[in-house]
Amino acid sequence: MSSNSKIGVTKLTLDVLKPREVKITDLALALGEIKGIENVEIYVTEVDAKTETLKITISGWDMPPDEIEELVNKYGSIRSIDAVVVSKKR
Amino acid sequence: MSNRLISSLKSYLLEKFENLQDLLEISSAGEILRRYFVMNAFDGALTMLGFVVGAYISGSKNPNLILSAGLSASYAMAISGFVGALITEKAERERKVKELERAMFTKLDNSLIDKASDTAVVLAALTDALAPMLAALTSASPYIFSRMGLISFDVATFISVSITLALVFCLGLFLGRVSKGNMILYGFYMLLAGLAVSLLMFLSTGPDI
Repeated sequence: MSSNSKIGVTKLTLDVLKPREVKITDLALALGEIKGIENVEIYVTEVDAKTETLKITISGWDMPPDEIEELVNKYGSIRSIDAVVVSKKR
Repeated sequence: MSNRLISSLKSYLLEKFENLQDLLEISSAGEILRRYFVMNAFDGALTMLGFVVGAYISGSKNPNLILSAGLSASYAMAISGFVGALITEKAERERKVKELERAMFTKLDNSLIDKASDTAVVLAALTDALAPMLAALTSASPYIFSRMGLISFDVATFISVSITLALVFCLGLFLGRVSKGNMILYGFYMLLAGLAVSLLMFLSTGPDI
């Protein structure tokens, strides 16, 4: 539907909690493989005994939010979607 | 055509292997698998050593006895190892996942951590089953040649004891490599344990008992 109306998600900022055993490089590379994603930035904002809090910023064109959510929840759990940018096709 | 098939199969297997490596890393299973492997291979080798030395001292010169009893013992060790490790490791891993679920305020079903945990449980059970079985079968293998009439029972016993002692020495070398310490020293520690078992057998069993 989004491709017909030529608008799509171009930027997402997520607040994510993940187990410490999971590497952020693996998560970043897995996100990078999703169609539409051009750039992935992950910052660790808090380190706990068993978990780490991440701020993930993903940008690209017409990114699939459901697929992103499903993938991130495989590696950890999304606490909140902090920002979203939707743009018309360039 | 066949080349393409082989290369696609190769890349598929490589990908699966890399996935497995990732899961092992996440579950930190490498250490526990190493421990299970050495402990249980040592168990299997020494059980067979005790059995071979005991049978020899008792005066029995029947390779069939060693082979059938040895095979039964190694199967029993494999089954008990598999079931024991499967249940204990599953319980431990489940506890860890539940603790993590509490820390994350979420369910971790179908997550990478859950998958890594299941993989670690199965690999631990397989290691616990195969390590003692393979070690015991290796120790008993010379009796196959004795049964075929290629070597005498005494020679088979000598080779079996030598193989077992070499095996425990190699396990020691492996431990030495793991500890990044003196490999030869670790090898001798293990060898000493093997010799102690043989000595105990000599002292506790014999034709008179």
